[in-house]
Amino acid sequence: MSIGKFLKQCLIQFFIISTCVTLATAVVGPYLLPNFKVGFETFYSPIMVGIICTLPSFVFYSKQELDLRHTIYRRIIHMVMIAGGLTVLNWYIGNFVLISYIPAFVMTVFVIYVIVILISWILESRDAKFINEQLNKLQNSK
Amino acid sequence: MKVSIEIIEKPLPEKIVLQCYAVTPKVDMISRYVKAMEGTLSGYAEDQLHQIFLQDIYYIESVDNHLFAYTEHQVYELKMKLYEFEELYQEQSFFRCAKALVVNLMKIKNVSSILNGRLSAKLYNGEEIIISRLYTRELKRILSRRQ
Repeated sequence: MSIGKFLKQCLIQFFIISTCVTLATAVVGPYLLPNFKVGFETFYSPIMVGIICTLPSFVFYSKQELDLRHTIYRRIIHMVMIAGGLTVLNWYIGNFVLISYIPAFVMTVFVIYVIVILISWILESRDAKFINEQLNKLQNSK
Repeated sequence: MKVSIEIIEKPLPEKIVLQCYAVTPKVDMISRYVKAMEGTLSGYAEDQLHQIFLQDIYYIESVDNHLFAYTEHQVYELKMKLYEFEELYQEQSFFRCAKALVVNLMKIKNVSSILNGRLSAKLYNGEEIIISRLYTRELKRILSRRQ
């Protein structure tokens, strides 16, 4: 993939993450913390999360197609970078009242990351199944 | 260039003769097109010119501006560009599956999903190639259209 296409993809990813974090905060926030009032500085939060989740995507950049082994290595690095970045951000803004919150937070990020990969793998497996069926038909028809 | 068609009786073999002053790129293109219709193309292996049957090719790869055709036991260098090959043979089960790779769909045993939206295609000779995310949708469309 060219660097231009990769950057475009990262930009799209950034806006999707920022929007989803804003939506999630707006929808879930009133239920979890109904009496909590936030200031203007809160608007930086989705942007920061977007940046922290997008920047590690650069570990996937390669001019050549990555094989499965390299993809897995880079996935692990990507996951650790995101978890690390989000932990530092939350620690910096004082979200961790107790130090024991940190492992629970990191574990939550890992679980969400794995679920996202699993969902995307299931969708791609559907594509693979469809292609296999069509290939089978094509090869038997000739 | 004048074109003439002559009807012959069976069992005389059908043939196409190109009469020209020199093998210009245009003549070469016509020759390649005819061979493509007949299911063969020319390739070099160990400095010798060979006729390769299209159905024997597993995939075509472009490496440093050189084009190579991979068959079961031999690798041939083709004197053309990847996009030219793609244009000439796309109707014959060849599909661009990555930036520098065209695969013969008849040689794919199965595909499986790997991470990052890409597919891994296992060929009948045991090799595995990657189908880039950009081309997966196109592959689905082509296969649906061919049925």
